[in-house]
Parts: sequence; C-alpha cells; structure tokens
Amino acid sequence: METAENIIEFRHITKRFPGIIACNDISLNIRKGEIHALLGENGAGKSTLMSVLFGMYTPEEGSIAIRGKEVKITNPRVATELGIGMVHQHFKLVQNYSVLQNIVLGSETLKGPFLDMDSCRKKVVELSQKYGLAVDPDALIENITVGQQQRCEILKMLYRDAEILIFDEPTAVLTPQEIDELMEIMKGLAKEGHTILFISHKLEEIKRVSDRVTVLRRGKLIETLNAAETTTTQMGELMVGREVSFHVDKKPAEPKEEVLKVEHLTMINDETKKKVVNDVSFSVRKGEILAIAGIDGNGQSELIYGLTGIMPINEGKIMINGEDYTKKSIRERNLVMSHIPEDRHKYGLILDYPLSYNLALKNYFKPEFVSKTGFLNFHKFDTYADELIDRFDIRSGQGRITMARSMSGGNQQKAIVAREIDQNADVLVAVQPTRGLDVGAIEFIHKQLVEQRDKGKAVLLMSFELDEVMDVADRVIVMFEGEIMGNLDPKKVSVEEMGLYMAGVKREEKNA
Amino acid sequence: MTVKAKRRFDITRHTSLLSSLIAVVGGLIIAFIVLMLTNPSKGLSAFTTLITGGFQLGGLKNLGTLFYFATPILCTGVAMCVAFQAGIFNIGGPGQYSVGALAAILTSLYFSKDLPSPLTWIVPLIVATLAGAVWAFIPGVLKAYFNVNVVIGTIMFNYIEMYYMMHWINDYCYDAMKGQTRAIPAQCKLPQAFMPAITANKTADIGIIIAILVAICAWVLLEKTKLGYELKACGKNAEASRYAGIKSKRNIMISILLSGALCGLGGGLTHLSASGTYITMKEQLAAEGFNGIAVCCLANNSPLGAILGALFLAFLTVGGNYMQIFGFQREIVSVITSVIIYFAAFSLFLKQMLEKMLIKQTTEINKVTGEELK
Amino acid sequence: MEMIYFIARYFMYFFIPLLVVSISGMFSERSGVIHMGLDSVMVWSCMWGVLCLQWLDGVVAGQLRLLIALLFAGVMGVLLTLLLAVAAINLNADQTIVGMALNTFAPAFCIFFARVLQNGSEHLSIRNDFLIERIPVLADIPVLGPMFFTRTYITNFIGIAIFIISAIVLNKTRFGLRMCACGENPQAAESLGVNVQKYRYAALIIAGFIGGMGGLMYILPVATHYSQTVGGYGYLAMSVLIFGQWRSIPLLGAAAFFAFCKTIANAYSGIPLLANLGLPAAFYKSLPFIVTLIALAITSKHDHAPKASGQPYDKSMR
Repeated sequence: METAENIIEFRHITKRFPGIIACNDISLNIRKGEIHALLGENGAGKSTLMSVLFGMYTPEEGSIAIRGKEVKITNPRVATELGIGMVHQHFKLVQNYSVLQNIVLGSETLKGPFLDMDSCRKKVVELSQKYGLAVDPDALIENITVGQQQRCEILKMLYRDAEILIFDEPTAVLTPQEIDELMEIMKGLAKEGHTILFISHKLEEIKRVSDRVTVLRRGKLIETLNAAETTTTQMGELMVGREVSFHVDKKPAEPKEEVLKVEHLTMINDETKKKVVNDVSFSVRKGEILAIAGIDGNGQSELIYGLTGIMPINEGKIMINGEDYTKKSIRERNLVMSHIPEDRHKYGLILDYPLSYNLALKNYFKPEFVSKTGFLNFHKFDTYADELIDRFDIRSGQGRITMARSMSGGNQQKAIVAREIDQNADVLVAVQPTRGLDVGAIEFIHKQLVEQRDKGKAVLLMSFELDEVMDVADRVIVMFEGEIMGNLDPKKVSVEEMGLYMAGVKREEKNA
Repeated sequence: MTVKAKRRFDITRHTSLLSSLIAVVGGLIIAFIVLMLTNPSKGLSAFTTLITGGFQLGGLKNLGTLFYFATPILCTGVAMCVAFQAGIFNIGGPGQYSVGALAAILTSLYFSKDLPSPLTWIVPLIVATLAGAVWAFIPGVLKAYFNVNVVIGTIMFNYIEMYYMMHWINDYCYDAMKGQTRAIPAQCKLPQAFMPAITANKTADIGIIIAILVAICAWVLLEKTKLGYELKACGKNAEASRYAGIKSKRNIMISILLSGALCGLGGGLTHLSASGTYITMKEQLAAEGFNGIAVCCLANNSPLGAILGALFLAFLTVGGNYMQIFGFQREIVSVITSVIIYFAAFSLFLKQMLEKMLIKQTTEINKVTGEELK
Repeated sequence: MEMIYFIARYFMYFFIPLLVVSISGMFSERSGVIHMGLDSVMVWSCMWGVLCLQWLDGVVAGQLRLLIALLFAGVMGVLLTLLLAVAAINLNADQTIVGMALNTFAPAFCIFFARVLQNGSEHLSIRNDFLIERIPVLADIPVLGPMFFTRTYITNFIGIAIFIISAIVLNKTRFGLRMCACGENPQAAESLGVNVQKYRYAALIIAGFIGGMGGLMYILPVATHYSQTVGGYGYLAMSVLIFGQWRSIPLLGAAAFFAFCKTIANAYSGIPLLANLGLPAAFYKSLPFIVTLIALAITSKHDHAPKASGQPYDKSMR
C-alpha cells in the first residue's frame, strides 16, 4: 500500500533488558521526508527503539526494513552506511578534540598514510553554510556552548550523508530561541529530502514541528496521529495513560524572613582561570521557592556546589539565618541546608550500599544512630529506613536491604528526596530533582517541594527545564556565563522573554 | 515475596564464594600445566604434594609451619582489606612490612630486652606497628593532599625502603658472619604458650593467634562501627561521601595508616617469632607484602575471609616447599598467587555472569510455570 | 669534558628504555586501559630476550643477533599484555588489580623458569658484544659526536625512532585519532562506528611490543646478567607517563628528567663532586624514586589522564 514511500519499517520490534521490556512488539512505518515525532515518558522505550534503529542494540525479536529492504543493523557503522544518523541526548563528543576532529572521526579522509584534514574542513564548512549551522571547526568541544555542540552533532550526521536523522530530546538543553532555530533547521532539512525522527516529551514542540507523532507508553506503541489533527491535551493523555494536568497546584507564596543570603559569590575554575560564578548575590526567604534558571554550563552547578561546600569559593559570603557559613564544613552546612544533588549517582547515593545505609547517609553520626563508643545502632537504621520507605512510598525489591544500584531511577530519586526532606533543615536545595523521571514521580516531587515551602522552608530549585521553573517557582533568577541576568517573577514574564535572559541578550539593569 | 527475596540474597552470597573458588581452581590448573610442562614424569606427584600441603610427608609438625607462614600474610591481607574497602590501593605492603620487621628487631636489640617480662616482646610489636604506619604516612599525605596516585606513591616507598634497608641493617644490626640481621634476644621472642603442644612443632608461637584477633577486630571495625561506615562509604563513592559531610582526606589517612600499621605488625610478628627469622642483605621486596593482596582478593576484601585466605596460601607455601623434593622450584606458589589475583580482578564479571546464569534458569522455570519476570 | 661525555652516554642508557616503556604505557592508556603491569612486561620480555640472545649466540653474529632478540622480546611482551587485554577489554576487570597480578606473575615465573632451565641458578648471563665504539662520520661531529655517537648501542637509535613514529601515529593518523577517542569517550567512538574493543586490542598489542623491546633495551647496557628485576623501571615509566601528561612531547622531557636522576644515582661514585658529599649509597639509589614522588606531588593536582582510562567499557551501558 504505502510501502513505496515508507523509508523505514519497524516490524514487531521487541527489546528486553534485565527486568524490563523496553520495546514490546512495536510496528511502525516512517514516510520519506516527514518529521516524525516519538512521544513518551522517560522509560517509554522511545530511545531504545531509536538505538535499535541506529544499531546500538540488537532487538530480540522483529526486524527493520529500510527503503523497503529488510536489513540487519548490527552496529552504528551499518546504520551509517544505510544513511542513518543520530544526535544523542547526551552528546557523543570527545571533549578535548576539535569540532572538526569530532566530525570526521570514523569517516576520515586520508592522504597517503596520514589524515587529510584540509579536504575534510572544506566539506564541513560547505555543509555548515548550506544549512546555517554556524560553528568554528577548530574550536575544542570543551570550549564551546551546548548549542554549538549540538550543531557539531548535526554536522556529524550530514558529513556522513545521512538521509534519516534521529534527534533524541534535542531541545532539552537549549534556550527557547535556540529551540526556534533548531526547529527551522529541522524543517529545512526535511525540505531537502531528509527524514527526521524526533524524540521528545514536550507536547508543544511536537505540535509545532512534526508531521506525524507516535505515542509510546511502557514499551508499547499506543497510537500514531497526524500532528495537525491532534491537541496537546490529547497527546498528553495518550502519553501518560490518564488525564493529566501539567500544572502544579499551589497557593501564592507567603514569604517571610530571609534565611539564605548569598553575597558577591565568585568562583574561579582552577585550570582555565575563568570566573565560572561571577559576583552572584541573591537571597531566599522562608516560605518561597526561588529557582535558578539558565542553560546548562552557565555556572549554576558550580554555584550550588559552592553553596553546599563541595567546591571551594574564591570570594563572597554565604549567610544562613544570619550566621556566616562561608567557611563552614560540609557537615555543618548539611545541618541547616539539605541538598538534593544534580547527579544522584555521583553524589546522591552510594550505589553499593543498601537502601537503609543510604537513607541514613546524613544521620548516621547522630546520637540515635551511633553509640558513644562508635558502634552503629542497626536497629535504628532499620526502623528509620522502614519509616521513610513507608512515608515516601519508596519501592524496591527487598525493602531496606536492597542495594541502591538495583533500584529504579525514580525510586532512587525518591529515596534521596525522602532523606533530604526528613532532615527538616531550614534551607532545601533541589537540583534538577525530576530529571529522568516519569510524570507520576515528577508530580510527587513537585508536590513535596511546594509542601516544604508551605511549611516555611526556604527552597532553592535549580533546573534546566524551563517549564519546571515557570510552574514551581515563586521567583526566578536567570544565570548566564556565571552572572545573574535577572530576578524575575514567573507569573509576569513570558517564556520568550525568559529565553532572552538565558541567552544573555537581555539583562535587568538594577541588578548590575 | 520475602521468601523469594531471601533466596536471591543467598544466590549472590554463593556467587561471591564461587568466584573465589574459581580463582583458586584456576590458579591450581595453571600450576598443574606449568608443572607438567617442565617435567612430565614428576609433575603429577609434585602437584599432589603441593595441594596436600605435604601433610603426609611432614606430619602434624607442619601445622606450626603453616601458622608461621600464615601469620604475616594474614596481617598484610587484612591490611589490604582495610585499605581496599576504603578505596585505597595500598601496594606499599612490602615496604611497610619490612620497616616493621626492622623496627621490631632494633627495638628488641637496643631497648626492650631489659624491660619487665611481657613488655620485652609487646614493646617491639607496638614499635613495629607504628613503624609500618609511619612508612605509609607520606604516600597517604601525597594521595590525600596532592592527589598522587596511591599505587605509584606506595610503590616508590617500597623501593626507597628496599635501598635504605641495607643501609640501616649495615649500620645497626648486621651480623657479618652470617650476612643477615643479628639474632634477637630470646626474651624478646613471642611467647609459645600452648602452641607447641597443639601443633606438634617446637617453634610454634602465639603469632597466629594475635593475627587472627587482629583480623576479627578489623572486621568489627569495618562492619559495625561509625568509622567503618565512613571508610567503606569513601571506598564505594568518594564524591557522595564528601557530599554527606565525611572528611575524605581524613579517611584516606586513617585507612592507609591502619593498613600500614597492620603490615608493620605482620613484619614484627614474623621477626619476633620463636623460630627465629632474619632479614638477609638482598635488594629484594618482601613477598609477604604482595601476598597480602592475594589474600585480600581471595577473601573478597573481608578481614574474616582473609583468615581463610591466609591459611590457604600458607598451606600452598608449605606444599611448595616440600615440592622441592621433586626438583621443582617453590616459586610456583607465587605463580599460583598471581593467577588468583588475576582472576580476582574480574571476579565481579564472573559473579555477574554466574548471577545471570542463575537468573536465566529461574526465569525459564518461571516461564514454564507461566509467571514471567516483570 | 670527558666526564660530561661519560655522563651523557650513561644518561642515554637510562633514558631510552624509560622513554620506550612510557610510550608503551601511553598507547595503552590513551586507548583507555590503565597499564599497571609495565614492570612485569619488562621483566618477562627481558628474560625471553636474554634467552634468545643465548640461543642465537654462535648462530647469528653481530647486531643482527640483537635485532632478532629485540623482536622476540617484543612478541613475548605482546603475549603477556594480551592477558591484560582479555581481562580489561572482554572481562571488565579492575585494571589496576590485573596489573598487580602481572607484576606478581612475571618475576615469579621467570625465576621458576630460569631455575628449571639452569638447574638451580636464576641468573641468566648475557654476552654483550653490541657496543658500537664509534659510528663513522657522525662520531667526528664535535661535542655531539663523542656524546651520542661513540660507545653507543643500536637500541638508542631504535628508541628515538620509536618515539618519532609513535608521535606521528598518535597525532597524524587515522589510527591515532580513533584510538585516542576510545580512551577519551568510547561511547562517542562506538557511535561513529569505531570498534572500541578492536582499537583497544590494537593499542595493547603495540604497547606490549614496545614495552617488551624496552625490557631488553633496559638490561643491555647496564647489566651482565639478568636476575628477574628491572629495578622498578616499569613503575618509573608509569610516573613518567603521569608527569608527561600522557602526551608525546612532554613525555620526552619527563623521561629525560627521570633518566637524569637515575644517571646521578648510578654514576655518582664516578663524579668526584657527588662522591665527596659522603651521602649513603642508599640515598643515591633511592633518589629517582624520591624525585618521582616530589615531581608527582607538584603535577598531580590536575588530572590530564584520558577520561575513560581504567573504566571497563560496557557496550550495553549508555
């Protein structure tokens, strides 16, 4: 029937991982020249399906046909030969290589036994001009912005003459303006005859850019729709499987006295000598959620690390409840400031400790948990863990003795949130608290944050997700290149305006 | 639910043990092959001697010899466990061990021989322990405060020890006639107590008992105390430990000092032994230090397991010595040791593979009964 | 002046093997595998090289005997390094522990083997007739001639050649570009169709070959017999690698620096100024190790190691 124009056919693809079925009997046809969106929550199987197409995984069952011909895509090289390219969610770039080196890696041109970088450069420059992908080919990846890195990734595909382009969550790291540019680039590519597969969980974007959209849920294909004929509400319901409101219910904030006050904080990177955090001042009051917004890599993470004592600060002052905490140890800070860290595997959990040990990570030294002679009170460990598990509904295979490593991401995050909230500290710092979680868990965590606020805690939320910032926060500061660009009220500022602050185009003068 | 959970927990425990066993068997197979290749006619009998520890040949007397060989490597093995669990790869065992040995010898020669009775040997032991810690101190500081790779740091200190050892022996306790350190006074040797009686070996002493007690203490420390919780946390995830307010530099220092102290104690126990042990004038790193790594690998980093590991390796050492009757070199034991360490390096992989096999079996059973694993 | 020439020649004896072995380590680590077993590769290959020299004695004459032995040592180095390769690449092993296993294995096996071979004695003697008194023409260059082209070994020039070739391979060829990508970000390399395992194997084979030759290069000028040790040279080479920040040119400087310390350590008794200081021999002997630690303490604050080195690369992980 439509086989002629179907450039890709997924036929009954099933891919299992230990414990889960990531893709369950998925059949799907992609037409040549369309922008086809894959919509689903985290863990719905969309990335897995694309990884199968790109040869990163081999499916247990099913087959794939490209241009009507059945193919076995055993590794990315085969995919590349078939004209398939992929921009991964976490960019696959070698940090200390130049843009050009990253682009040619794997498909080098040679002159005799040596690399012929000049002819490669010519082709790259041509491509970047043709598609409006401005990037300096000789810049090192570690020195360019995330947006430029993404362009490098797109150039990588085009350099290999890819016809089928896969974008895995490409907008997560961009400002609203950069997202607009990307949409234009994608439309331009489609016009040139490329087929685009676009993974996202953001309904607005899908509606804006794609021709058709396929909804996945828990590894199963739910439905394929024409984007023009559907609404975001309908897509949202299909994605989650129930009626959802993506809006966070909360009363207006009733901020009281200042709890956390940061004055002229400056942090300098040891190696590059750059000021990653530059003269930042702000304060958080009891009963409000202050969000730090901005594109990844503009000093927000460093600011949090400086605040919580994980990284040293060079200048400035940190006051909590009127007391100077600038020089205090991490342990002392932990007593008044709990911290849901950005990277739950690196900082949040000791993966090879059981859940009960992890839940006690910030308490184990307190008198209830350890005797005066230094012996641990395991009974207390157990009862405390059971209480938190019960209260926050943390699910795991074997309860408190489960190794943190074997828990699901959502429950790992719940464990961290439970531990940090139960510290009952005056300040709660939450960094990217919902990253990689499904809608249910996101709702749960947002509710917890608002609840803490209403209990009179000062909540500092750092997030790269603009939607989250706009929904949850009472006040937003935007960071760009280590500086605060504006101190805004999310109810009074539009997403587009926020984007201008995030891109460093706009700046509130009174803050200077 | 709970029943199922318990069963799975047991499987992982068995796989740990199983991977240690695989390492041992692997080591023995390699040894067998090497022996057969070098002398096919006597290979088999030599191998039998090796794995039976020569008990038929030497009789019960060997139990004392076994304990004598097990004592130092138990100490260094526990030392490695303490360091590894805290994420510190202390390869400085040979240096710390030898410095402890020399400290014990010097203390007994120059100081403690005139002290009241039990102090004559207790004081040198304490000094040996401290000396081991001292030798670990600088690599520890370099690691904690200067980020110097701890393997390199401790190795360098092994070599520094190796060269200085000769200098020190020569200046302070050289017996030129025999080309080794001077004999320590009899009253400074470890007490023998009931040991000769139960091992049928006249020179057996209480060294092994001290070493086992130390291993048990180390286990309690790691598993039951706040310090152990912190040390292991640092070993498993240094970043998260810092985040939790644990002082990582302090922990690096504690673990490496403890580890060095245990190695030093091992050196002390060996060189105060009733049978009499000497340091010879040779530019050589003490094998006891490296064998601790094998003990620790066999024991899966558990000080209690180290007791078994040390006894096993000592058993092989005794066997290896008897094997010389057949004209084979006892270095074959070190070859086995290295194979055991080699296997231990991917024991995690072995464990996962075993688990996968076991889980596959259970899922297949489940499939038959119609309940699929979600 | 004669003194300076003497020191320069002595310096080369230490410099070349250190350089060569640290290049071996560089291949391994730039591809993403930590090579703690450099010392074992030296000890092991050195024995096979020496044995090969013995076998060929009287069969082949002159420098050819050395060249064949070098090749043989290289091949044996590859064999031992393959043990690391299998464990690190296929079995996700802890690479540091594998290295230590090899370091335990090599000396033990070599003692065992040598004793079996010679019925008891572990020392293997080396008949060294490879010293080149002077190279025609080049030896007549003032200053440089007596320093580098008289009383020299062919291994010195092979070592320099290895350095130049390795620098070109790493920086100018497709192989180098891909191999180093495997050490920095194997996921990225894999996504571009680079077979990470294959490149790591290739890197380790090269590392084994170079390291194996380095073992024989070490012993030739400095010893008359082989006794299952290379004086901790493998560990020094690892320090050179860290000190040289895993890059070719800095590596050259680092190797020169350590070789200089080693030269002082071994030749101090021939240098009146140092011999008269009255410091114990132990001090000079341990000098290279002490200096290493100081150098590392100064330079280790920032880690320039290849980002993926030491981490098992698991395809199924994203």
